[in-house]
Parts: sequence; C-alpha cells; structure tokens
Amino acid sequence: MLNRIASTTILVLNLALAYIAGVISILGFFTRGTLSNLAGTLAQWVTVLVAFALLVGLGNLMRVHIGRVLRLERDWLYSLVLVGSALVVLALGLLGEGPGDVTVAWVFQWVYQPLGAAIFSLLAFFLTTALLRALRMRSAQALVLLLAALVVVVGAAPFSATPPLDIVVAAKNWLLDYPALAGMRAIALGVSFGAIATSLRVLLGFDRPYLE
Amino acid sequence: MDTTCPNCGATNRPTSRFCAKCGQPLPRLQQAQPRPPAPGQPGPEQAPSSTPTPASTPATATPQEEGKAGFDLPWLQTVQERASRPPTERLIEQEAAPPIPQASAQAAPPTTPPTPVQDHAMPAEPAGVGAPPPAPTGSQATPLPADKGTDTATGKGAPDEAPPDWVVGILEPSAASPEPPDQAYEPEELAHIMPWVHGAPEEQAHAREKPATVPGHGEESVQGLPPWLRDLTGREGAEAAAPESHPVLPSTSAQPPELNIEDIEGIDIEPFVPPDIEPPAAQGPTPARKPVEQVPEWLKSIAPIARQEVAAPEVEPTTTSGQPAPTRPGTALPPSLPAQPPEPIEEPVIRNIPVRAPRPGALDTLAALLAQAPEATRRTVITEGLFLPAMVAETRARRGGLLRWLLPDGLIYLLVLLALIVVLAVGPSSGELTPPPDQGVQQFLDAIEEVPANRPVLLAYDWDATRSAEMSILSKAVMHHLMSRRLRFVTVSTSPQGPGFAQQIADSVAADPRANYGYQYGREYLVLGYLPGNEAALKALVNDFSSALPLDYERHQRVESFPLLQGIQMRNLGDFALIIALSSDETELRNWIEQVAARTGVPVIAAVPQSLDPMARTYTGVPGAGLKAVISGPTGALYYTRQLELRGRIPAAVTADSIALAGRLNAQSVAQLLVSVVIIVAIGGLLAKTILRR
Repeated sequence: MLNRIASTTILVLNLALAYIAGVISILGFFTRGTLSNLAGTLAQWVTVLVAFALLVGLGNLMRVHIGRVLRLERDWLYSLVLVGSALVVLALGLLGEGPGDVTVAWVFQWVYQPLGAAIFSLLAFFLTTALLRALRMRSAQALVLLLAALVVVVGAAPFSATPPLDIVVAAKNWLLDYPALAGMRAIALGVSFGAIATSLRVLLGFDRPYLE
Repeated sequence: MDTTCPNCGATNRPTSRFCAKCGQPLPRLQQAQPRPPAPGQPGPEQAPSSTPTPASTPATATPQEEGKAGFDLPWLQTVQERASRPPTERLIEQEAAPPIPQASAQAAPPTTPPTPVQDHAMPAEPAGVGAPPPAPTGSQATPLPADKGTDTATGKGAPDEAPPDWVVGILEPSAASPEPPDQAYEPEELAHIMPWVHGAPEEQAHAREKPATVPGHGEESVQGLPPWLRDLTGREGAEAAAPESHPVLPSTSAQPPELNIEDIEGIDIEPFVPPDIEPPAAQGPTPARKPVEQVPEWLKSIAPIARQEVAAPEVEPTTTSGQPAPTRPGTALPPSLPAQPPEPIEEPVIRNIPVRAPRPGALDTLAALLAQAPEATRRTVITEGLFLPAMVAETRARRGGLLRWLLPDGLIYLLVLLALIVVLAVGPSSGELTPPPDQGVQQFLDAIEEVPANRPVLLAYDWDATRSAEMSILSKAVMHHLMSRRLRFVTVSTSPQGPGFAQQIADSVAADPRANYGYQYGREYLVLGYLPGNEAALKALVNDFSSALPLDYERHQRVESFPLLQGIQMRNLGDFALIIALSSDETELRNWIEQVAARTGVPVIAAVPQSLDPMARTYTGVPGAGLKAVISGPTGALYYTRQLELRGRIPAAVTADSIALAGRLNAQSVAQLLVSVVIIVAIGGLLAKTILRR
C-alpha cells in the first residue's frame, strides 16, 4: 500500500514538473520579463545536463572499448585505435591550453578534417551510380527525377553561365523557386504541426518520455 | 558436428540446410537415422497392412518420449514431425501425390479400412484410438473416449484438449480453419480475372459446414464432440468411404475447372485465359455444360460418399473375435439409419457483380505469374545472404571478378576519378570562369554592408569536417568581407567541431599577410566554444549571452576580460547587428531561424552547402522568419568573391584565393559535365529500349 502511494506520488510529481516546465518555456517564448528569464534559466540547466550527458557517454564509450581490448574480442584492434586516439587528444588538451591549444588544433586540421572530408567525398561516386540505378526502376517518376537532376546539375555548373546554357540556369531557378520551394514548405508545415501535437501530448501527460 | 558441402567443400554449421558459400542443399544428418513413426503411421519395420487393426496397441513410449510427459499430444507430434522435415521433401510429396480421383474411382467397399493418413493430411488416429467402445446402434453419436490414446495418469497429454486453431489449420487446412483469412483481393476483382476462383470462399465455407455431417449421418451424430473434432471425424469418414481418394481436400487453386468464358462475355474486358487452357474459340462451339462439370473437385470427392454408404451398409466389419468392429464416428452408417438420397448439387449461382476494368498490365502480370516457370528460375539458392533465382545467381557468379566490379559502377567511379585528377593536376586553361549570377549573393553582400561599424556580428560555425570542402571557402569569403569592413565579430557553435574550424579560419584570415587586416584576437574578434543543447542552447543565448558562454575557446579566459567587450554592450543576442549562420545541417539552420531570428528580430543570413539551398530558400522572403539572404556552394562563393573584388573589398593579393577556387570549380565543372552525360546517356538508353520493345 505504501509502495503504491509512493509510486503514485512520484508519478504526479513528475507530471507536474513536466507540465510546469513546459508551460513556462512556452509562455517565456511569447513574453518578456520574469517568465522569459525563468525559461532562459531552464534552458541553461538543459545545456549543463547535456554537457554532463556527453561526459557520461564518453565514459561509457571508453569502458566498452577498453573492455573489448582487454578481452581481445573480435575487431579489438579498432577499439584500440579508438581508445588510443581519444586518450591522446584528451591528454593534449589537458596538458596544453585546452581545446584551443596549438597541438590540438593541428590534429584537428591535419588529421580529423581530411578524414571527414574524404568520407563525404565518396558521396560523389555513389550519387553518380545512384542515377543509373534510378533508371532501372523504369518508371515515369524516375524519369522526372532524372530530368530535374539534369537541369539542376547543369544549371549549377559554372560553365552554364554562357549564353546557350543560360536557359538551363533559368530553368533551375524556376525549379527551386516554385515546385521545390512549395514541396519543402509543405514538409516544414507538416513537421511543425506534428511537433505541436507531440508537445501537447507530452505536456498533458499522454506521453511520458521522461519516465521511460 | 559441422556439415561439409558436397558441392564446394565449405564447412557449414550442423543446423544449416543450405551451404553458406554456394547455396547447395546440404545433406542432413537426421535423414540417415530412422525417423520415429508418427502417431497412427506404421513404423519402418511395420509394413502397412490392409487388415484393419481395430484394437491397435498403444504406442510404446521411449525413454525420450517419457521425458516429454505432457507434450506428446498426437496432433502436436504430427506438427513436430512435419516441422522437422525439410520443405523440399514436403514439396516432393505434394507433387508426387496422386491426382484427385474422379467420382467413379471413389466407390469402395465400406469394409475397407482407412488407409494411413498421409503426412500432409489430417493426422491419423492417435495411438489407442482404434479401441473405442463399440458404436452404438441407431443414430446415437459416439463421443470419443476419454482415454483416446493418452494416459492421463502418466501425464501424457490431455485427451480432450483441443488443438489451437492454427494447428487445426495446419493439419487440415480445408476442413478445420475456423475463419477464412482476410482476402487480399476483393471477390469481384478475382471474379473478372479468375472466374473459376469466384465464389470460392462461399464454397469453402460450405465445405467447412458439410464435413462435420457426413451424408447419412444426422447433425446429432457428432454431438458431444468439440468443434474441431467434428471436422476431423467427418473427414475420417470421408476417407473411410473413399480410401483411394486424395486425403487432402483440394483447394480452389489446385486444379481450376473449365473456364467459363460465357460468364464474362458481354463485359467490355478481355477475358483472361490461363496458359494451359485453350480459348473456347479454338475448340469450336462450346458444348452444353452439365451441372456436375461445374462442381469443384473437392465437392466431387464428397458426393459419392453418400451413394456408396447407402448402397452397401449391410456388410459389417467384424474383428477376429467375431465382435462387431469398433466403428469410429462417421466411418460407417448404422443399418437402422434411413438412407438419405444425395443432395442434388446445383449449378453455382452466378451473381451479377459489376466488374471493374482491370488495370493496365494486370492481366499480363497474372498470366506471367501463372505461367509455368522454368525449373532453373524456380529454384532458389542462398547467395551472399540473398535469395536469388538460381539462374541469376549462376550468372552473377560466372560474371565475377574484375568485370563484375567494373560494370557499371566501377567504370563510372574510374571516369569520375580520372576527370577530377586530370583537371586538378593539369589545370587546363578553360578561360575565365563566370559563375551564374545569383540574387541571393547580392542580398547577402548588402546585408553585411549595412551593418553599423560600432555593432558586433555573430557568426555561427555549425558545420563539421564532412562539409569542409564547401563550407571552408564560404567561411573564408565571409571572414574577408567582415575584416575588410573592420567589423568586430564573435563566433559560437552548436556543433562540437565548429569552434575548431572557427579558430582555424579566423586566425588564418586575420594573419593573412596579403590582406594585412591587422585583426587581433580578443580585440576585434572572439572565438567562443561549443554550446550543447540545440534549441535550449540558443534559448539560453537569447536570454543571457555571457552566462551561457562565460569562457572563450582559445585562451579559456572570461569573456568580459577581452577588450572586444569593453565599451560595447553584449548581454544577449539582441545586441548583435547581424547573425551569419554558417550551417551545414538543416536542423541547426532551422534552430537559428526559429529560435533566434523570430524572437530577437536580429536579421540572419546564411551560407550553406549547395544541397541545403532548397531548404534554406524555404525561409527566405517570409515576413517574420528573419532570414534575409542565402548563398550556397562553391559557385556562390566564387560569385561572392567576384562581387567583393568589384566593390574593392578584397585586396588584389587575395584574389589568388579566388583563382584557386576557380581551379577547383574547373574540376567540379568537369565532374558535373560527366554526371550530366551519364544522365543523358541513361535516359537515351531507356527511351531507345522502350521504343524498340514497342
């Protein structure tokens, strides 16, 4: 019986906290003064909590991969590289002048950035073959998609500024300004309505993601 | 013990049915061992005998079976036995099953004992079921004995426990399915594409009602039995009367009856003709159909039962002791039961259902599905985790190696790579690149030009390394513009990698000897760190800027200690004259627009990758959104740089950057040209193939 009362009390307190915080955030968005400042304070708490969550995530990541290395599980070498690189960058930042240290900046500029750019550059190759694969569908929609892609690709290229191809540039601008814009705005509106409905459900206690 | 593939020699797990390497079916170890006989089926050493064994010996339980006390229900054993057999074996049995006999072949003396029920049919009588008490005379039904093949004392199954509906559906799909499944097609749709299927649900429903009451028996003959057992007893009765008949009630798709073309004549659609049925026009005038020709085969298998059982009820089976043979419910008619004439089978009623015209290509698709496919295409093997027709898998395996990689993906990869490398290495002179004019670039440039000199600008570095190729040149161009105007600026990031890029680019542009802006860190610009929390972070910035980011990124000093903030007010975001969002992600850009620009009224301009341009345009020109202008991609950066040169904002020495950008755009132009050619060739090929096919 006592357990039931305690759990009910905890549930009601959680619901009340979520409701109050949500209402303050909403009202603070549309007003200025006390409620707005209060909403700002809540937002700062969120940033602190997220920062701690990042730390917890880093700790968990290290624990998992160190364990894999110690147990010599499958692909433990990759885990070793991950743990090693994380510890090296962490040590450089802690021993130096923080994340803006020259050594950390060097690692960031000459190691991390080229790797990230190289991974993304593979997309150019995959996109090219994806165009061919889209044609295998042999549907009118695929044909329209490819024709639109052709117009946008040619219209965005620098060589299309020359007079014979400037028509393609105009066609590309029309595509982006009217059909694509209408579609994107429709999607944005739909997402916004969905977000409003979801927020109301959370505020009113129908959905309780904070209790899961 | 692992299993070795007889085809390729690969080692597979003992539970594998197919080779993981070549897809060849693997020999199963269990097949070498004699399978324990199913309940009601003769064992390997026990040859099937035509002599009835009314008092069959209860199955002797092995020690293993005894260990499964309570789980050896007859129907469950049958299901387990069937599940343990490979599907190919079941398919072979189904294909080798005798065709459905005609009505004349079903006449058999009623003394003929029921043949052992085949595997795919209803399970045979459980052990001990052959020793029920003698059948009572008259029409009294005989409920199954409580000790039907099981011993409740030993816990071996519950005799009166009904199997679940799904099990009944497996054992006797035609007779025991409680409810028809949801139809994937409406009946009228089936009616005009497959007329013989039309009405099948009704016939099946009729069949589910009929078998419980074998002709000659009253409904009361099965009283006291659970519903599922009524179906089974009725089914056994049908088998006893027609021992040579196929034990499985044929489904409607087993053998379609004669196509009734007349039924769909007059409708403005082309009647579908199955591949193995000639159209009636080729056979001359259609003969008058007899009513029995309209009867499905499964109804024919039931119809003679009444005739033969009525015709020969006088022969009563006896056992060796002279006692009347125990009669299972439904297997024979008591002599006192008056013979009932068989119900006339009427011609199916053809309903006048409005028929919709089929969709284009539906008939062709159906014909292709019904056509007899070659054996090679019906066989499936497991190749690389995918179920592929054997023909396709063999073709792929044959085509392997370099050619397989090269066509077509590898060839395209090589072409794109070759074009980029050649253009970047050789640097062919293609004349001066003239980027297409962009109205957004003009608006972007004007927005920075309108910033008062005494108010700072906020730059949001929200891009990561994956977009650095595009975003770095855009960021550099913006930095040059700000420094050429001697504007003070602060950078923040809601992306973890943003502060690193902000520091790198701001320091490099500020220290550029060609421009010699004379910018000093902390005096004219400041790099603040990463602020986690997305919307909440921006909300915190809106309310209290210095509290949200109290320390800078490079030197870890308090923000108020830098000369930049001395003499100007910078408490919240509203104190900035302009916000420049350098975003590579849709969410981050949207947060700046929705959470900051809409609330503070500070104008926002954005520099984004080319792929994000359509999304960014969504907010441009919308009153209240606050997004004033957008530039995107290297083309926009080049045009922006050219405009700065034209306005005298960038020193002549800095034009070297734009020249390098022009070189990069040359390579990109060639790549874009290549992609365009690929698209054109592909579309041309598709059109040519379509025209040639027609």
